[in-house]
Amino acid sequence: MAISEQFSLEGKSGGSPEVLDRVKPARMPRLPLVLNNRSFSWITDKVCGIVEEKTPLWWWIAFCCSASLAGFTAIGLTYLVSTGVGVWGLSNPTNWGWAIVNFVFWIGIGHAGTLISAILCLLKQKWRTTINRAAEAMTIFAVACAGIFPVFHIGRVWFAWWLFPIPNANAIWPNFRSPLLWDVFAVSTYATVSVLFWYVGMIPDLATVRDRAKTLFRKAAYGLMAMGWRGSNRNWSNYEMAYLLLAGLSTPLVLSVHTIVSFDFAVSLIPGWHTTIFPPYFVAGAIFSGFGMVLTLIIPLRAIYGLHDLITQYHIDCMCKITLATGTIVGYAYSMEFFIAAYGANPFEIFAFINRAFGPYAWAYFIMFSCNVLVPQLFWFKYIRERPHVVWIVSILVNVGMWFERFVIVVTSLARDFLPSSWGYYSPTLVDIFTFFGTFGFFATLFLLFVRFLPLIAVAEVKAVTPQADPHYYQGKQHG
Amino acid sequence: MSTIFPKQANKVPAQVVIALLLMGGALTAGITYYFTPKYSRVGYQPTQPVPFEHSLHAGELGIDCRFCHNHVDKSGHSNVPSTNTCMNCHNQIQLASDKLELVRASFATGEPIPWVQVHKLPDYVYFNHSVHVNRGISCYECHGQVNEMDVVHHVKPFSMAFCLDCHRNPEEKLRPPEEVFNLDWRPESEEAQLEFGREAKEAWRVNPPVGCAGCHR
Amino acid sequence: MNRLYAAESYYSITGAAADHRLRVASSDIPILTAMFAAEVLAAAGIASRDEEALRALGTAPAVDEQWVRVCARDLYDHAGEALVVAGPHQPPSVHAMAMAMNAVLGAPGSTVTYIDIPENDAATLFDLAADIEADRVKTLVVLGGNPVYNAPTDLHWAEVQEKVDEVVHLGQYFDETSEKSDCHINAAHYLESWGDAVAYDGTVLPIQPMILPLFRGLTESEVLELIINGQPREGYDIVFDAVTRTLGGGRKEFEKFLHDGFWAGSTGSNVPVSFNPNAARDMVMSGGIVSGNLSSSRLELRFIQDPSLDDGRFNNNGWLQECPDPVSKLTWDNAFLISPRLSHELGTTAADPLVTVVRKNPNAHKRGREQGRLIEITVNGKTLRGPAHVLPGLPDYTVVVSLGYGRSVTGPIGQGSGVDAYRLRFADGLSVHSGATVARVDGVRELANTQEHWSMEGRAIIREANIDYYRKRPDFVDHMGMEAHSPPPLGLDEDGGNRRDTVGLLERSIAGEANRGNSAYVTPAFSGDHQWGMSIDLNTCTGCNACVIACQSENNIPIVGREQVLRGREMHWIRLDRYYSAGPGLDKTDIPKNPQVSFQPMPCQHCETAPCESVCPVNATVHDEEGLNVMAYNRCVGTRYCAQNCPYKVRRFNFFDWNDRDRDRVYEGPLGPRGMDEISKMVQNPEVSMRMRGVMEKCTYCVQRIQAAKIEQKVKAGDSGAIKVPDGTIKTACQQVCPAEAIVFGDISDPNSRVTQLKNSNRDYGVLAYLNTRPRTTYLAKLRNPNPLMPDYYDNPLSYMEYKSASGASGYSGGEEKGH
Repeated sequence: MAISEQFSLEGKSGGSPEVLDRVKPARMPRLPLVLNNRSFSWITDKVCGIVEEKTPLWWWIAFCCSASLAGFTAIGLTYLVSTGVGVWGLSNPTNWGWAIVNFVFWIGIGHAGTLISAILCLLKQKWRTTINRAAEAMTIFAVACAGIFPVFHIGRVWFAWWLFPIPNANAIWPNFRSPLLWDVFAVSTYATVSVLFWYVGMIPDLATVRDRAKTLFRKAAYGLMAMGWRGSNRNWSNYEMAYLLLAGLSTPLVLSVHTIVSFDFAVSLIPGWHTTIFPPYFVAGAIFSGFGMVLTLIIPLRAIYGLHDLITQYHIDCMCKITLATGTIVGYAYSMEFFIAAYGANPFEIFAFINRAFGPYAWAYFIMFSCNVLVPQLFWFKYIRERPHVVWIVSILVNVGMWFERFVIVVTSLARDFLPSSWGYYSPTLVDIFTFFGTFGFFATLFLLFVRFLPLIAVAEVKAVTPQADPHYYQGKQHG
Repeated sequence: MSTIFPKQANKVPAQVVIALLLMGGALTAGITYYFTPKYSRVGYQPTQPVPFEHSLHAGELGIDCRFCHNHVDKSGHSNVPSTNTCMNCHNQIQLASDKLELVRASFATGEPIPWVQVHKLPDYVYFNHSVHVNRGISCYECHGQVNEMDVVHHVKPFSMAFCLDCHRNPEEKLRPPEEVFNLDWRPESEEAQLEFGREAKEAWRVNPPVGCAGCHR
Repeated sequence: MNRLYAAESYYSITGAAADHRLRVASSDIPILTAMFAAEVLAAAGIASRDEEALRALGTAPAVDEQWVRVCARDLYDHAGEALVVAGPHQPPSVHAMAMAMNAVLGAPGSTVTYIDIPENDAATLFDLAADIEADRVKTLVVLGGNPVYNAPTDLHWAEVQEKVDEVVHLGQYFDETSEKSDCHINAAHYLESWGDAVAYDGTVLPIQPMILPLFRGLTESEVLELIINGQPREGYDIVFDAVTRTLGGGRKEFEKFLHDGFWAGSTGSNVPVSFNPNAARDMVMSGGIVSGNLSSSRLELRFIQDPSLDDGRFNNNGWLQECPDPVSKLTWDNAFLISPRLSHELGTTAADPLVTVVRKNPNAHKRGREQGRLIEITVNGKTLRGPAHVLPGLPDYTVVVSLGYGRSVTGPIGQGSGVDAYRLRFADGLSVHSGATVARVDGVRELANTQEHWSMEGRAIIREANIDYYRKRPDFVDHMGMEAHSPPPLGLDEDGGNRRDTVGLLERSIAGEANRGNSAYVTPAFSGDHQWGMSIDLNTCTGCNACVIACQSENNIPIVGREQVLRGREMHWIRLDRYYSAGPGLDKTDIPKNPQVSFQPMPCQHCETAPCESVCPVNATVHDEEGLNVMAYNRCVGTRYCAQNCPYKVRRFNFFDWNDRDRDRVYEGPLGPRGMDEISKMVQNPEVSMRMRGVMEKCTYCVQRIQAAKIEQKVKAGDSGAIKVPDGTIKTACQQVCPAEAIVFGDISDPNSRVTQLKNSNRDYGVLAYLNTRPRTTYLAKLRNPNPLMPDYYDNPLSYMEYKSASGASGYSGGEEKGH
């Protein structure tokens, strides 16, 4: 009998109940993405409830603390711009210090959000749906924090507009060969696309909040933001298309933006910077630190708002595994750097790495190594992954380690480069320190506002991955 | 669900985007036009303390520029003359004119006349007059038809683009050295100018600096 | 090539230039000289009795007799071409022995000439003090000088001066002496004065003012005129009278004198001298020559005139305070310079790091700031506390301290800088005192040192070789460094990777043929009429710092003050790197006892493919058609990427408004005082922009001078094509002032210019040339000329040996035999 004859059953399609009954295909058991078989309305109530309830006290306390912390950044930057770059700890040869480290740190963190939103979307990883909204928000706020530094670290901030190619009477263009200019375009593109993606994705949920709103003010506010969403098929169809397009646009950005940021270093000739490993190394590191930050934010939120049914152990598990994978890549990159330096027989390069590990900044190197390579190895163990408190601590250490990685890269290479006569040492001043820690306040403030006023879980998308969303679910139930 | 916004509200996002684009474009165009030297400097015509007329002195009477601005071919700075230059003639001419009251007072007391500077470059620009006038660039090219001006006004924008235009294409402006101070001289035609300019550029090895250090140091 | 032997107690730049250096305490120099004199006599085979007498005086401790013997032999072998010079502070017996040796070596008339100068019959300060004590002085006029500050401490001059009824002080500044005087008159600066002077060789010179006195100062002559004749008189008239009366002539001769700058025929003629051995013998044998007998409890304290501040007269001069000491690289402070051994005994040496990655610095640093651990030196019961700085190369028990610091009445710049070494300076030890004691005390004074690391770490930065090696292998410079051992970067470099051939490479660049690695960039297009380049001869550079100051004055470079130098923000556009080389055998934590010193002036190299240019986002630094790497201050937004990417680290960033704000109050920002006072404005060169904060700056090859010369040439050319500036017209400030003419600047597209000829030398190389920066500033390798018979002979300079050892370890396949 011909194969086609073997497998066609009386002319019925493969998905029809008769065929399924006959063939009984094995169904791979999948972990439920929403526990306890929650209904759509439960999901809506849970998430929108956060937005609608009265502001809890803990939120006010947290907001006041973070806002005052953010004030440090404002004060630090005002002092910086009014007095001069000298209020930071910079010198010759270390003309870049904490500011650039902070910039790369924050930008790197942002990449996880875009990966979750865009790449995991294209890869059809359904578990991304409960965390992508918060992660994307984290990206945008991280980019906002990051953007402060390249603008303010320049000596004459009021001329920052010269970096843009606008017509002028001096017949002079900016220098398109410079990685700093590429940064301008990369980061602004990233910010724009991320905001668009986040916002467009949020529209159905904003409409939901709008429809549940009680006061006129809320109706109007959310209504304006929801842009007249009606929930019609056409709306949904356009939405899905736009979402997919934006995911497609964002995907290359995950790789390109941090690659371009890495070019700030890779394109120069300083030993320890001038290496082709930087683009993949930085991108992996960015995703690594971003996931660390996502975990740092999600785990407490989950506990505070009781979102255990939505952000399940499986979600945390997946994130831990990605963290482990990227951390291992980063560890591999560290060892590769050393190997290539030794193998390449360039005495300056060899020295740069020996100096990193054993020179005056060896303490920073060992913090970096242990936090980035050793600590995440704990995630091999399910025992660890199942304990959210431990995961949370590890995630914080991951970010500490990643900050130190950028510190080691920037400062050790600059402090001791080609000519020993110019070797020096960089030490941050109080202004450096306060400006940096203030950005955490800035970030937290924005995130708290997000949590308070916007749906922090993508309600529509979560509903789409529950079993109930499958059009055949109820059919199957009837049959099975 | 109740709708609080009218149906036209659906068009608002598109309108906002278009409005932003138009505003952005208008802003850029506006700045490029109004905030560049072409608008902000050209036409500047301050009132001078003494109503000195170039049209009379340099024009009708045909006094050479260098009679008063005597350092222009030796120095970077083209000087506004001191009062004794004026008095060279005006100790005999127009003795009774009250237009010259300030000049006579200045000569008597030694207080310089408070001329208002018309052409002023920023401090970070180092311009040298002598190398221009000695190498075939006329006063006319930058200062305009001064010998027909009653009151001196700013003719050219003096933006960096203006300087670069000539520095990159000196053949468009070179003239025979004896005609440099002849503000009425014009080339016969554009082709003639270019022909002369190219020959001069070649023969005199005119190679004006286009790197930044030419003017900014 | 000449050969220089030096025996000294301080690491001077003479010692740094020496082919053989002996570190000897100043107190042991007399006995060392006796050893030398004995050996020279022995080599000459004459005066054996004198020789025995000299040998009987003893030997200097810790000095290798072989060193002295071979050196003396070498001198004698070159009799007629040799010379012995004794330091001016040495006792007369030493000078007598030096003259004796010169006589034996046939030096008078060939290598040394003598000039007759009038006898100095002035009384000494001690005579004056005695007269004052005896009440014989009613009015004291102090013309210049600052005796209250710098008279020997046991003279107690401050009290002595108070005993005089009326004291008038003529001084450049209101200083310690002015404070103790009844009347202070502002002295006119020499540039504001009419005067005359006699040069060291007897030539009479005029002093002509450039400006009327800014502070209504008077010259010495004017003050004396007032005192003698009671009437003020024009300085010009005073000088005219004095000169024409002494030298003859009238108005015409005087005007010629002013025009020429010297009085024709006034130069002293050489006087033939003959050596008087009897007088010399008396002087030497009665001189009481003994060894200093130094130990850790009996130290020698050596006072030196500070290389920047002299005896203290320039204490309030900001440029000189910030100019690093040539060897110790200290600014804004003096320190007790001690040997590594003494430091070890005192416990002031820095602790060993946990893991040694680089050569250890004996001076402790905390976060990049040198911690000068405090010690107390006691001389004759008087104690002075100050920071210690370890200087390799000092004799074990000599402590060197420079005079001129620690002033109590000085201007705002000098306030609080350094310690007053005059307090330990007694009449019996004006230059050297043996018998000082030292104790370590608690506390630290941070010392603003501009160079933290002293070793080249085996990198081929300064390339030097022995002259014998150079003769054997004239292209040794091409076989050093990464560029000799690596494939040319950017591949397919058709010139075979010979990056030394800067001129050839330039020709090909101009013709558009030089390989740029398939780079899409045409810039820089070398279309200019000239192509500027510079050659710095490391062989003649002495490390004197004149170029640093000249550049500062020419280019309006601000000073930043002690705190900012501690932070590493000094603004000098050219710096003098000073490296010690200890040779490969030393352990990384060992401090060399007698290292070799090499200097390298490092200004902007004006790389043809400058790494700084491609990374500036706003095109503030670009390359011009004549090869200059140009910095447009008005375009710079201050991202500082250019400074990061410069491998030579020659770029300087304006971290604060040094010009507009008060240097001591920069951290007050907008709340601080603003504006530059009128006098400071007059210091600035109007041809160069003043930079505000947030702007990067660097050496420009004195582009203002280049442009001025080009403009002048073009104005002269008019409508002809004679626009090329003749070689030698343009001198950069550093070139103009270098006493050794080590820096040569010019047009490298001209095959006959001096700089092209120097660049064609086989000693020419570019620092870090393997990076393919193609620097326009190249260096001529240093040559040393040691004597193979000397016990401290070295096959090649220690830095070369370090380089060889380091490059061997990295796996280079030996380099000498196999020509790469």
